[in-house]
Amino acid sequence: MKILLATPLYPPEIAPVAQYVKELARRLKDIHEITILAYAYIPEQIPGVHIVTIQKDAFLPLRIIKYLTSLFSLEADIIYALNGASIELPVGIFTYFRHTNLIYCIGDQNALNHGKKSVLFRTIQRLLQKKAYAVIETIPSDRPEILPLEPRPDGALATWEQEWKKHIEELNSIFTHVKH
Amino acid sequence: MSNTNTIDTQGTWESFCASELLTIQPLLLELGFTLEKNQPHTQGERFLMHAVTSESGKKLILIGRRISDNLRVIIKITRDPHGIRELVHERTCRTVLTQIRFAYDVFFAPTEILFTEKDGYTISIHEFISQEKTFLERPLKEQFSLAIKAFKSQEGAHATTHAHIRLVQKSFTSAHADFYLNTFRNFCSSIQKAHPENIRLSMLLTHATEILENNREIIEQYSGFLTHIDFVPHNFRIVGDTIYLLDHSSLRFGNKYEGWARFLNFMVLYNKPLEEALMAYVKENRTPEESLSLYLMRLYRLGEIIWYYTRTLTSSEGNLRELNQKRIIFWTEVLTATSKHESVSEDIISSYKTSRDALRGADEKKRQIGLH
Repeated sequence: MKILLATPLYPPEIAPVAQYVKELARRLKDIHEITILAYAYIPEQIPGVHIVTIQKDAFLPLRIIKYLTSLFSLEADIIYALNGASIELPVGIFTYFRHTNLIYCIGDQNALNHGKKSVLFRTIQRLLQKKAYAVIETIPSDRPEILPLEPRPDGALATWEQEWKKHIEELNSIFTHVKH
Repeated sequence: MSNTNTIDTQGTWESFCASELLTIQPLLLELGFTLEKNQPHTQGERFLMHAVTSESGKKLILIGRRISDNLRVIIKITRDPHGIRELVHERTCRTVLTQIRFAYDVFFAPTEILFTEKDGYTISIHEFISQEKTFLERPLKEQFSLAIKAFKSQEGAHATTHAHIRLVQKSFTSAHADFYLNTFRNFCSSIQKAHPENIRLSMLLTHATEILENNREIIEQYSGFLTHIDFVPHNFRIVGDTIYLLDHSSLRFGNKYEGWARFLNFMVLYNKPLEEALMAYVKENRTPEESLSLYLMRLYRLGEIIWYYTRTLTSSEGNLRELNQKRIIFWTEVLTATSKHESVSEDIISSYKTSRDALRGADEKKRQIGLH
């Protein structure tokens, strides 16, 4: 299945959502054909994953138009869109013109709260929630850090691994239902 | 290598300090400040210290008191155009730092008491921050946790969008891969010109240049982050959990590991277990590209430090000149080991420290007390 991960942030950005998208792509790439569409300059590569970038240093309207153009040009069975105004707006427009299997992931609480301050973005958020086949509201926590002067956090790492296993199972189940 | 505005010798520096202090003291008195008798920042090797890749002018850093309440203060004063630009730039950085959406609750700046111009001098006065213990006197775990906190805070500011770039362009300098490569090539050619006989160093620098050139994209990939290029213990103070930055003029948007690299290279000499712990942290928690970026920045900063001491040879004599030659040899050893992803041996470090302690002047030894 061709899955497009639409994200506002991607490493080397250090925001948790950027790390989440990279980890998600890494874990899905052996089962699905993954493309990441991200606002980034020089993204960190993942072997076997196609990454399309939109430069961030242009004016905001130009960035959004470029992002939208890329959405139209990339083929995908599913768009997995991370929340954030710079994604919600082009994805919102895209889904208005073209039927698509949309999964909307509200992984970035800060972006959600920021969007709620604007009537326009609140409306787009509601629209996307309605249009989406599924809304993902929880994502795995950040990977526990291994601190050289502390005991290795094996328990926390195992829990993190379990969270991801469960998350991938949940997503694969949704993907299967979308397909049928 | 922006600045060539150095005071050539210790003698010139001492005369400069003496004549400036005669003019400055009455001027400060008019502003309500007096100077303390002991002025460590005018002594020892202070005269050699000029930044290599950022603005650095002739300025005096003095310790004083506010007459009205006896508050201890740090006074930075200059009438040199480079020095004035440095002080104004530092103030701008301090102000803009609070406007950037980044963890400014981690870094604090000492309270500004006065910033003024008087009789051709630019004067910047801040509250003196006293600390119970220096950074290196703290337990290793605490040093590690403070360092990580400081680096994470810097990395939190990434100038990538149009709006970010506009905000920081006005105030901070920025460095990208081409800057690092060109500057490193300049270090190399200047060092090779000064030491044509040192074939080993020349070959090492050529090899390091090739490594940097072959990884240009990795350097660029991690650029655009806020980084303090002189983040070493004498440039910050710790009170409780708070880190007070004493030098804001060394903040810029560059490779996120430029500040790390300076800190780690410094710790090779001053606290090797901390250097090893931080290297292990990056290896365990960050991507291989990031480890590579740190490695590249360490090479870059080692080239810089070798050039820094090469440059001092013409303005030093006697024991100090011999010491600076030893420093070049020592940092060459560190560059050799680092370029091979190895650690410099303990023998080399302790042998260098022994020579350094024997060759350092009494004033410099005094200046070093409680510095790190």
